[in-house]
Amino acid sequence: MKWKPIGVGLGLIVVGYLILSCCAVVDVTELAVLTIFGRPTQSITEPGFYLKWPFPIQTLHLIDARLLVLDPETAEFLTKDKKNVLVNSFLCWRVKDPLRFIESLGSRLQAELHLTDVLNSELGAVLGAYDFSALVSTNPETVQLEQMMQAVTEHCATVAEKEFGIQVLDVRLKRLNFPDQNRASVFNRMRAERERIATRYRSEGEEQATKIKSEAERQRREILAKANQEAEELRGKGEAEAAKIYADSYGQDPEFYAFWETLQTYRQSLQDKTTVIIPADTQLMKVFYEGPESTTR
Amino acid sequence: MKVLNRLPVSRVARYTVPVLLLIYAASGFYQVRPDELGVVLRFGAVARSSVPPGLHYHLPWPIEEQYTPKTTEVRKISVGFNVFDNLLDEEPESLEAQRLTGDTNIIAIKSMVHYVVDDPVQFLFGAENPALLVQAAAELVLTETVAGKEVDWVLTTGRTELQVQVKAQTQALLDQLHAGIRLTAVNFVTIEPPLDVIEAFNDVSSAKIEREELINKAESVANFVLPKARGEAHELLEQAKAYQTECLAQAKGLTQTFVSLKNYYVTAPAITRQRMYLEAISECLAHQQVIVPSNGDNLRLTLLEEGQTLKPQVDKQ
Repeated sequence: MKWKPIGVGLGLIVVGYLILSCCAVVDVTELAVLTIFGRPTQSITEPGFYLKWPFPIQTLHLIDARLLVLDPETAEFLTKDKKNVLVNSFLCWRVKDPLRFIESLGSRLQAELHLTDVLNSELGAVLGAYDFSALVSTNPETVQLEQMMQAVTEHCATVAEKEFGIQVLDVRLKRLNFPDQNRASVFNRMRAERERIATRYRSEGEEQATKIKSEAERQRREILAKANQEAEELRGKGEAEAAKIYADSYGQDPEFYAFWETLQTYRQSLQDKTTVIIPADTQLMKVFYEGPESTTR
Repeated sequence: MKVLNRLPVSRVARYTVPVLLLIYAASGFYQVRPDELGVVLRFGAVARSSVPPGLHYHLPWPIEEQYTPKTTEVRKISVGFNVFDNLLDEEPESLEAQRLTGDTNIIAIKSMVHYVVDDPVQFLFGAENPALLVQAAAELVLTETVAGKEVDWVLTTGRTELQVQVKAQTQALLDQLHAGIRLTAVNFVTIEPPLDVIEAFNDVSSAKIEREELINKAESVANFVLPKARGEAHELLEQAKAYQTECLAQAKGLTQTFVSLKNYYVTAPAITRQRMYLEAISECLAHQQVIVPSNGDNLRLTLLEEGQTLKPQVDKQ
């Protein structure tokens, strides 16, 4: 009969399917939960090959066991001293108790939604308990970022483990910034500060330059004053020495000197085309008028 | 072969099935290249973790499966920007790159992180997305580190040290999370103030330069003025010395003349005197206009104006 090979074939397929359905492989990147008729009964946390009752008796649900990163949307928080901050968080988690995970959440999406809620509420609580300077400060003593994030991590981890079977490994601040409207005023402040610094540099330059130039001027004057003084002294010395020489020599016969110097004076002053008036009764003109027999005595 | 002949299957199946089984068995051969390491899972669990380069065999799927990640290839990921964006674009940069500094200034940092696979098992199966983990870790370390530093330090002298710190702390975090990754470098592509304020920051640099210029100019003026003054001073002294010499020379010259003349004079005073007088007078009167009024004459003199010539009148009594 022709039905026999078809029947055998179908039978083989069904048997094959049932056999496969009894085989379960849990990968090293996975955790698993076995459900009996849909009810979660046990978890498998070690990778390997497992036998189970075939579908629909027992079903294997696989869950990602790897390290997962939650990257929630930017959220705004208020610090204790009423400063608004925009925060991008980083939350690192993995499934710890697959049974609890399936019972409470069921899917990755649900997990992320709930984790985000827990994260934002814990973060808000912690950020609201500290001043802004605990986050951002050049003074290492006021910065408490590490403690704050540790607190957030611990709180989130406690809730997540108890309620969702999730292990929260680390919660950190990936990015920290001011909200848009605040950022504009921060930029204004930055600009004003930079202007102040630039002005200071420029005026320092002017001040230094003036100092250098006036110092140089002062030194210049000093040099010239000293030089002038010395020059005067030298001139004075020269004149004095000359005067002494004159006195020493002219002093040997002052009367003769006077006579000689007077004649020199005549020579020099009666130069070009001077008109000289000589009265007739001078000794010079005596001979002129009296004739050759006259004497000039 | 006899066993096969008894099986209730067709002749073709009798020979193709063994061949298929052989092919299936042969699928277990795999090659690990020189820049790779092999990892073999058996039913999902790690069976062999550091298979060296070469040809190896594993039991075919689904019993065993193999992975051969590249362990020497340096991978890289951008932090703060998208590599496919044009870095030189004048577009306002995204908030992704902005960081707050300790003195509540805002700067933009774009960096590249380079890493290699350190532990193949951890790298393959530890994190869902190792590259994203590296990026996130670098970002948060940057945020935390820069939040404690001054803006000027970050922009100038602290750049290198910041790179070192960020690399160390990011590596520590990745080790803590068992990512199986080793960072080889963290390089800052740009660290600069955001576009909104970059002009103001650049002006500060210009101002610094201007300050130096002003000082240099003043110094060069000083360097010119002082030697010039010293030169002038020297000249003044030289002139004074020359004057001094001239005075003496002139004095010596004149007195020498006088003394010689006097020495001669004392030998014949009267005649010398007479001679000297007459010589002088004749020299003086040589080219002059001489007027000799007689006794008793009155001489009327007129004051002249510019251009007029002298014409004294002699009044006769």
